[in-house]
This record gives sequence, structure tokens and C-alpha cells, in this order.
Amino acid sequence: MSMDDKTIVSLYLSRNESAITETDKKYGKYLLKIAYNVLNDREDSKESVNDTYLAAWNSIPPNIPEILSVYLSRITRRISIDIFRKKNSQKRKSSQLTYSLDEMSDCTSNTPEPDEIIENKRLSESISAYLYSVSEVQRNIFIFRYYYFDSVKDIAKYCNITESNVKTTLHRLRNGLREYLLKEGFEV
Amino acid sequence: MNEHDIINAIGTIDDALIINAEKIRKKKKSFPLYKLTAVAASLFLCIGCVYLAVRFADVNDVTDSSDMNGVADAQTDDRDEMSPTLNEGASGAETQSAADIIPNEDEAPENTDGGQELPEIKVEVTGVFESGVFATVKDGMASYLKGDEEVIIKFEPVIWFSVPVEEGRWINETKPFDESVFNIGDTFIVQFSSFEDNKGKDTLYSATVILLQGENNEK
Repeated sequence: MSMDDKTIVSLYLSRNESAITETDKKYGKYLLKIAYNVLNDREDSKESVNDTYLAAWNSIPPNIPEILSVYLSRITRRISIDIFRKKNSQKRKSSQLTYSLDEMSDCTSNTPEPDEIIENKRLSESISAYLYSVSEVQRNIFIFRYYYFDSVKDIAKYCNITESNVKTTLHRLRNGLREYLLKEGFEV
Repeated sequence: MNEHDIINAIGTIDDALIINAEKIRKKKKSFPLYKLTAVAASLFLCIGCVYLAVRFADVNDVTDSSDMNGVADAQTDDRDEMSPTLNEGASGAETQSAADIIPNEDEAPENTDGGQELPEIKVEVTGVFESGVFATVKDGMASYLKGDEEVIIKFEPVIWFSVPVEEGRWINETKPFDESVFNIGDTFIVQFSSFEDNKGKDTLYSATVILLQGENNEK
């Protein structure tokens, strides 16, 4: 029987290492699925999930998440995307242009600037607002695809619709989002 | 702004949006119990119908024998006459070649039942155990056994088949037979002398074994 989120969070707060075990028991498969959707590799996915647990351990406290699944899924998603981008950039290393770009990254900082952070927050809020403006089914389809990176096939199963329907809906949602962001003053 | 920015930003959308979507994902992942039960029941019904159809397909050919022991005894007598070496091999410690077990054709019992020819199957030994062999049906007996279906052939005075075969479903405990006679890859023909429906349990056949030399038979 898995623990409730409150109890697991209290284990983190009291620095009890069984917090990780309990997290894994309750959310391990869930997080692995998210990671695998991004990385399509079992070992990388396990690495991502392990990094998630470490990140959770290091961030609770001071953070005290109310909904642990959402908190963890965000971390796994971010870590998995980072691993994916790193691996992809390694694959491109054969070209001199890639070498140059990699070298040039020494001149830039990975830390987002304050105005970047604000812009990202604004973008995130606008996307949320857009999603609230569409129907629940459309909203879920968007989130399954672009938050969880579920396949079209899986999304069709979740929503009880055809794959073709899913693709059409996603296409319309992307167009709708583009229009919305333009209206909000974003340069897309 | 590019697509990476949007993908990153989606990672920080409202909690409520993610929570609602998560509920749908969780619900759809677990197969509803009632659906599972319905599927299992349909499968069971299907298998049951197929089994009954196969079982009673040739119901007119079934020998009505209420005295299985009588049949067994008769078979034992016949087999004792025609293949004394088989019985010797079953109880003795001597190694016998497969060829020794092939009964004299003249002495082989008729493979008929009331004038109608009973089926025979060709099997290939896939395993040898202490009281019989595992064998896979290679040919014949479409109405009784499917191809690739494994049978257990226990060597007693009367040979019994268990259909379908699962480990542990022995019909009769047998007196020992000489397992060194059999090798994996050996093929032999099983001729049926009679057929008896064991009332829904394992289907029992009494049969005579005519052993052929297989490619792998080194004895």
C-alpha cells in the first residue's frame, strides 16, 4: 500500500531516506514513463528518474509540494529534456559548425537572465490561459502530447478517439496557440 | 522565441491542468475490472466451444466402452504377445535399442474399432522422463490432436495419452520403463486401438506403440 503525498513529503522534511524509496514505490513507473516518452531509452530514462529523486531530495525543503506527482513530473520532464538535448548535441559533433557553436557557448551563460525568467513565466501563464479557453478534451490532448510527450496512439486510447482525430486536434491546437501568443504580443 | 521556449514553458503551466490530465491518464491505464471479467468469460466460452466441437466432431466413431480395465487387459494381452521386449525393457535394466521395441507387424493388433479405422499419429520425442516421454504430434489425428500439441506417452502395459498435455496430469502411475531407449528426436507412430471419453477429464486413449527409428536415435 503506497503512502499519501503528505507523509512522503514529511519524510523528505525530516531527512528520512526512506522518502526516496516511498517516492519510487508510488511514482517510479509514472516518472519512468514520462522520461521514456522523451528519451526512448530505458537506461537514460532510469538515469533521469534517479536524477529526479536527487533533485527532489535537494529541493524539499525548502519547497513543500502539495501535489507530489505534479512536482516530480515537472522535474523529470525538465531533466529528461536536458538529457535529450545533451545527447542530441553530442551526435552533431561531427561538423565544424557544431564545434564552433559549442565553443561559443563558453561566451554565453546558461543561467537565464531576469528578463528571460519573467518572459518564460509570462509565456507559461499565456499557455495556461489558452488551454483554459479550449475544451477539456482538447486541453488534455495538448497536455498529453506536449507535457507528457505521450504518443498519438496512447492519447487516442486515453481519450477514446481515433488517432486521426488526435492529430487533427493537435494541429488545430497548435494553430490556435500561435494565434493566441501573437495576440499576447509574443514574437513567434 | 522558438519551439524550445514553448516546450520549456509548458513545463510550468498551471498545476490544475496537469492534475486533471493525470486523472484521465491513470483511469485509462488500468483496465476496468468488469471489462477484464467479460474478456475472460468470452475467452473461456470460446475455448470451451472449440474444445467441445473438436471432442464431439467424430462422436460416431467413439467406442462405447464402459469397461476400461477390460480394454486395458485386452491390450495388455495383445501387447504381451506382440512385444515382449517392450515389457522386458520397461522393467529391466538392460539397454534396448528402439528397433527392439518395434513389434512384429504380423502380431500388431488391428487398428480398427468396429470396422472403422482409428487414427494414428506420428510423434517426435521432445523429452524423456522417468516413466514416459514427452512427444510432439508431428502428423495425423487432426480431429483429436492438433499439430505441435505435446502429448505425454506413458509406457505401461497399456499406453495412455493425456490430451492436452500439462506436467503433472498423469493418468496412471506406471511401472518403470527403460528411458535409455528413447532419445530426443526419435519419432514413432502411435496406433490407437480404442478411444474412450473420460467424461470431460483427460481424454484417454489406449494405443499400441510402433516405434520408428529417429534421426537422432543412436541406439
